[in-house]
Amino acid sequence: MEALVFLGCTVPVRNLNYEVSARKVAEALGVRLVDLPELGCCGYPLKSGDQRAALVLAARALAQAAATGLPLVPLCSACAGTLTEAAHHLDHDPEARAAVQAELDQLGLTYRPGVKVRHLARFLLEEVGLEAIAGKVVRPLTGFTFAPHYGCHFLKPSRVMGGLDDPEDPRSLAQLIAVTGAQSLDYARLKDCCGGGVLGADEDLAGRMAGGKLGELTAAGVTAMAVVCPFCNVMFEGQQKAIAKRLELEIKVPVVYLTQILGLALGFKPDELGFKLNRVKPKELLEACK
Amino acid sequence: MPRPALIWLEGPGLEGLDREMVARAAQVELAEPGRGLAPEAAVVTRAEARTPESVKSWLQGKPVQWLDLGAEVGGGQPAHRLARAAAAVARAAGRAGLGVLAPVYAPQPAQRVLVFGQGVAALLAAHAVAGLGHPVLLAWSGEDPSRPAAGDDPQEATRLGALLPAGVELSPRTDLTRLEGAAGAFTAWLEDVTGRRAERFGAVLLAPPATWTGEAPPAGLRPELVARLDQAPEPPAGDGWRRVAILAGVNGPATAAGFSLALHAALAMQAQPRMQAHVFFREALVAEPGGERLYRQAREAGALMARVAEGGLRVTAEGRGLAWDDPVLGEELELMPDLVLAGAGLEASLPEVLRDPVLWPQGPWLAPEHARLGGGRTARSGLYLLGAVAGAQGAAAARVQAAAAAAEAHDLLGGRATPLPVVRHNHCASCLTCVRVCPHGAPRYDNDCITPAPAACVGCGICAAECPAQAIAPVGWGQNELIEGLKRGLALAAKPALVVMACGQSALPAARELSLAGHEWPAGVLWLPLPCAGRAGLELILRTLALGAAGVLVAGCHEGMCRSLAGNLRARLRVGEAAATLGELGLSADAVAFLPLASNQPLALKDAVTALHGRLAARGE
Amino acid sequence: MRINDCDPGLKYEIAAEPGGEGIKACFGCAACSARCPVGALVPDYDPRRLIRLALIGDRERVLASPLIWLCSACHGCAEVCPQDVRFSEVMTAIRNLASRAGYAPPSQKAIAKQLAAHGRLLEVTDFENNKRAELGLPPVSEAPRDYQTILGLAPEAGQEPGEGA
Repeated sequence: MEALVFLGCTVPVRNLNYEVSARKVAEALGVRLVDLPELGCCGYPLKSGDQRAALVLAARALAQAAATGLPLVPLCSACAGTLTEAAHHLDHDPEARAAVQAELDQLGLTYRPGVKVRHLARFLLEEVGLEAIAGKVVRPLTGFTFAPHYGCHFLKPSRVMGGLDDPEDPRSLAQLIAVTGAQSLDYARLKDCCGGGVLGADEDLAGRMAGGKLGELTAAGVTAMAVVCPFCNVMFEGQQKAIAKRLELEIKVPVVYLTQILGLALGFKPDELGFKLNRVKPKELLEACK
Repeated sequence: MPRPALIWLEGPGLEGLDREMVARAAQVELAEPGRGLAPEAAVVTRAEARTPESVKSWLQGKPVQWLDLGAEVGGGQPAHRLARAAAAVARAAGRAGLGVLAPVYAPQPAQRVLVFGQGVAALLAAHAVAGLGHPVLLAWSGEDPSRPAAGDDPQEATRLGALLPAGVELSPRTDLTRLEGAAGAFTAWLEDVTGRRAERFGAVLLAPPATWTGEAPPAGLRPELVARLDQAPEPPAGDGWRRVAILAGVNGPATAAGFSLALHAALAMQAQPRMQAHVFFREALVAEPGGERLYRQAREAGALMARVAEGGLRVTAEGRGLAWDDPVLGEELELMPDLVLAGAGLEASLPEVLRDPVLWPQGPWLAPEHARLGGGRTARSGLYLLGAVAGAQGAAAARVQAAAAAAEAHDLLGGRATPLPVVRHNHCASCLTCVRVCPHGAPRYDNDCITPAPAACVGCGICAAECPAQAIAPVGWGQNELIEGLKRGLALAAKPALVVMACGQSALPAARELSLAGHEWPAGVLWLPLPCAGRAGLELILRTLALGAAGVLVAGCHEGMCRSLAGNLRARLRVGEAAATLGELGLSADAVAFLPLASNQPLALKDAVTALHGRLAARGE
Repeated sequence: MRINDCDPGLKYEIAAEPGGEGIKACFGCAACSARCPVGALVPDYDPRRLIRLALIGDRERVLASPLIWLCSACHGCAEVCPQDVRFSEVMTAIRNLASRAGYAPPSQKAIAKQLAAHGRLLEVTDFENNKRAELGLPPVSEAPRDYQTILGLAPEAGQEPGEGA
């Protein structure tokens, strides 16, 4: 099967380990990821300042995807949320669609409803399926425990993103972890927001939001936290040291991408999955998978 | 006297009991249902509702005691169960053996129904009763049947008035000057231009029209700023933003209809350009059907809501401003309104005819919180109070009331067989005690003797307990019958014997629940089911002790919950008198006790019975 | 606070903005405030209070407030709201109004400039593409012209348009 991959702004520049592992895993599971170089920013960062323009940016991506006829698969949760919400809005509001189309006319694009936007993790769950994935696992990660971090835009707002999982009692990422043979941790702050949305406005606040989860997982002693979004990665991995210092907390939590975990279980070597670029490495796991 | 036979039907609670041993111990014969001729009298080990039709038709015409034996036996040691079963069968046999009761002449209840009142509530009542097939006389003091009362939707009133069914006779410009009687035999005196006439009705539904009573605005507000909500106020004029303060139950008691009125006014104001309505209330009374939706509509239209505590809305700026503390913002807000609409509540008063202390001594009439009344019903069978006077604050509630009242009236007047009080006229001294104590209006003093109203008795038995000559009792609940049964039961019960007089609305269901759960009662506990705790009476309690019981526990409903208004209160008082009597005789006063409980309090019953029985056993009485 | 000094029209402006339609439905149950992760850490940040101020019409404390930029867009409030206010979307509406009134923080302008220059938040040059090539990843291009058209902005003088412009 084929899908149009949406890289967004951050992943292709700052999170190459995510992209590399995502492409390897997709290929191994029979999903051909097609690239469209003209895709740019999904519009998320612009929403607070000018949401009408942001909607047009999202519509641009959706229009380009519609032209290929392929499902649109973002790697970043914020992109997935933004594009899904935009499609939902445009598909249900003819006035908004007419206004957006007037803008798209200037770009020579036409918005067409019916583009299926799904985060890569969701796409793997729904289109490939746990059974098929389990069938391809060659290196079960038994004995390791990962703490899934769902973040806020993978499942919410449920009105728009719904159908996969219950945001107040999520299980989807836990299932994807369990299929590798590893344990998925259920912990108190499972549903906490990473704080990435306020990093620009108030670094201290963002750090406090992420710090709670980091503190709990340090105490729990997990192999790693598993994320599916580059923003969350910025908070938990990039900001880890700064948060530990500012909050005067002992924090040591390796942060990996879900696709990196899947990749290891599917038999890839750590170097193939971009682990060199991980800042806080899960040493035991990498040893075991050499 | 006929000898009763025991018809043993297996069922829950009877496992492991040897029917032959039970029959032998209770001194009754066993009979196989359907085999040969039916016995002269019978005790069946199952409640009537759960007995197969074949058995019931086989026993047709014979005195039968339906004994829910499984519930009375309960769990525990086999010997105790056997003893309890035998005692229960014996007691039932005693009652069955009293023979065929002479048929009592029951005058036919009048079928015509009077609906007196105006507005949507009255119209709904007329529709509901006529819909069940009873001829209705709809009488009221005004002219037009479709005229809405305060709080009514005028369109609804017009529609109901136009669509009155064929069985409804109209009597406009009519006053109800006097009302007497009970279900099946009410006499109403109606007066109009043609004169005064007395008419007979089977049931009476009164729907006094409601009026708006205004709430006093906060003291100190400039009077020129204030108008009344229920008087179609004009929006204030002006160019810029104008502000209207609407008081929906701030200084006075609020009603749901009044709150609804306030929200409608808010919607009307918000429909004007550049108008801002602020609605103040102590409570948002939205529980009426449609209330939540109206509340949301008002908010969507832009009305702002402010909840204030009692006394929390203060007058400022020399009578031109209103101030209150907003708990969400944590600060004081001040508003200078262009108009203040003072709230109103919807009220109706008890009809004049019911205020006659001689004809209508029993009360309370209106008890919407009462678990067994409410919804338009009063304790007086066949008499219903509908509309705002009974707590209905809108057409939906009035519709429910009308349906409930009509259904019950229909039951009384036609379908359901009601118990009848039996009067032994050679014993009756016409003291009128029964007339005085019955809350349902069943015993009537007519033609120099006590006559039962055709459809008013509910079988509570308070008359039987209170009659000094034992001259009246609902069929089956006479003093002799109860005592006969007690004799036979006490003869078999283990000593010390504790008789539990169990009210059918509370203690009996609780006991049943315990028995079905396998609870083991102490040996010697004997159950006497009663329709109401008020049936117990001083005489029965003392007689029970005289017959050999060591103690009596009367178990009835909680205060305020009695279906017959004061049956439980009477029982409590009589138990107190019995205790005092015992004390005077030098016996232990605590051998008798009254336990208030509800049907969902089995543990309270269990604890009380066990405790009292334990005390009696310890004393070795 | 004097109510008469406030602007009753503010709530209609918010309701007219995409996403703000639900604001008037709020009846102040505080489910949102209870769920808000920012509110748990910043006492002054209270979604219910913000809604109340917006409904009353205190422009100063809503549009000009620095608090409205602290929302992390986690959508928790929208999940728990019993009246379907969708406060996370109302917040976007309020921010848009605030931006148009001139209260946007500097980062907002920076974002728009970046998008106009590169069509992306983060610039992509040969340096980035070389790094990608080392890992076997296909190159990424910039297409800023479309973004300039949509945003009505011209690229800053001196900026390279990038590949594929």
